[in-house]
Amino acid sequence: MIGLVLSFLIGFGVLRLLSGKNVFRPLDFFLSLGLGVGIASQVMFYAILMGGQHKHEVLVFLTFIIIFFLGALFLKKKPSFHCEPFTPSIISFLILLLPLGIVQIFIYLNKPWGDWDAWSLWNFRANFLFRSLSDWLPIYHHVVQGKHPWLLPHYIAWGWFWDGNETTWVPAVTAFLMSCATLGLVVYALASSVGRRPALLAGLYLISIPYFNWHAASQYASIFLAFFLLGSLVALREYLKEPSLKYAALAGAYFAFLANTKDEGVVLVVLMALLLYTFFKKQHKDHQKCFLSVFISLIGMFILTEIFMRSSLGIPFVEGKYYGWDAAMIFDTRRWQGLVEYVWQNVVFHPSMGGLFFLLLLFALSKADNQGWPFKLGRLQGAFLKVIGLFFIVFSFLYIFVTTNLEWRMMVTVHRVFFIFLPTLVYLIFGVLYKNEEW
Amino acid sequence: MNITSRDALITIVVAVLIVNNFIVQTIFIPKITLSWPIEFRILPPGYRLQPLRDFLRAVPIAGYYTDSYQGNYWENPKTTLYLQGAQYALSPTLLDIEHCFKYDYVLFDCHQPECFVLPMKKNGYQIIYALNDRIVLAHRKQ
Repeated sequence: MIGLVLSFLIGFGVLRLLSGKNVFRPLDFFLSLGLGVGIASQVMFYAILMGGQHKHEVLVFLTFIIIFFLGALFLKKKPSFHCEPFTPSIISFLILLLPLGIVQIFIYLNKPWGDWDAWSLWNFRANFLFRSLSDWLPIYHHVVQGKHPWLLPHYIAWGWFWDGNETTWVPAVTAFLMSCATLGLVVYALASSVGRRPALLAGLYLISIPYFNWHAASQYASIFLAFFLLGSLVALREYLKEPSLKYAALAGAYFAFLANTKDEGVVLVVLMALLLYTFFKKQHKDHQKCFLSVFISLIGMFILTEIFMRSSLGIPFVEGKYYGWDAAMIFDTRRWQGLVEYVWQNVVFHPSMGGLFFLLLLFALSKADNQGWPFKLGRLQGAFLKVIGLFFIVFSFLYIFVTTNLEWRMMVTVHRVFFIFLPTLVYLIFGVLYKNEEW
Repeated sequence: MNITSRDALITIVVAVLIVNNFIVQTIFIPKITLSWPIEFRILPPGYRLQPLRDFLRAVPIAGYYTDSYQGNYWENPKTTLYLQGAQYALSPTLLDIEHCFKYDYVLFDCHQPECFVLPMKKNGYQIIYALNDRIVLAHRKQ
């Protein structure tokens, strides 16, 4: 528990300092949860790099340095601790958490080690980092390790270190906290634009999606990716409303964490960097300077870390073993047909997706009050939808090039890819359906 | 709120979806969660191999031999399940299934009794710990 509390306090402290004299908003509470997770995971990584077999001592040292500097800056800058009232109230939000909690406890009691990839990939890596002494390097060469960055394993190892034991509840509670933070982001970010009731309805709808509730508890990295994607959109939106270093830095940090969570995150960040660069290029010069400097430096730092790690350790971005780069595969109509049929039957019309595609249709056909059809989307909303669309195009090609059993591959991964976008889509859809606001 | 207003209609549609989704959840989540045998849900991954952990504590990489492996690690879910379970239980020792006889220590994790006898003799290994007639830890003969 100490590790989770410490990471939250670090995230909260950093965000509080960035807020300066401004009032702390309920939304910031959920944003700081994700920020803390990302920072803690990075601290763990540097402790392993620097400390080797003394990583635990180095971790304590680094954590205390961070807390010391945060404390010193707090004393110097004296940021305001005044907080806006929680609207919707904390009680309504807690009631919303009830179904989420019941489902996650049920899953934890029946599957304490999480789903297959939870123990065989994510928690296995954490387990290796936690148990190994100085020889942590071989893990990067291992047969199952040539994919996905390390944010989640580092964070789980951080939690285990402060707990002193490899408990099953650290990954389970982490998954639950990230689900709550994602739900909090949807509700409190929507509440400021569409009002309390529609925001709570959106939250209730999100946790009613069977696949969301189930997969969020699986202890996979998808919930982190979903959180960072939505978090970056919310931070960008807040930045556009009121340009400040706080939200620019937060958006940059979330993009960086996105690239450090999963391979899908790297693809998303590359697409977003391209689209957002063109978006901010047309904005006012002050926006450009502040946003681009923070955005590029943070993204650059994390992507370079990723490239450095992979190239120096000889880990390919896309493993040749599982993909065949043959042009003939693109023209294999049976593969395309198989992919489209699978998505149509098992995702679009599947009850586990909770009618999201029906809502998307409503969203596409919706006629906003006093406006013509189709209603206009804001440029940032449009940019995010383009990123999502482009992402699916890129991913379709990856499926087409798969050399292992395509059906099996689709069965185990397609839903997870859609999962990443669920909270962001719910946020965008409800924002537009209830108030056709362009941003 | 006017029932015919746009917001009210959207709310009704969403409310119907929510009710439907919670009904689906009560069927979907228990069904998918409990679909795995209890051995793979409740017990620690690779629990069968935990007694071997002390022997391998200082070994960075060991070989992993199983009779169900047919040259493609990902194509056989059972092999994958057993290898990854063993990997989790014996971490930080890494297990190599592709070049298993390259290392001094080899873990034989068989589905058929005594499947390890021939490959072990052929590659010059001797048993240092036998958990049962299917799971054996062997070391290369000096």
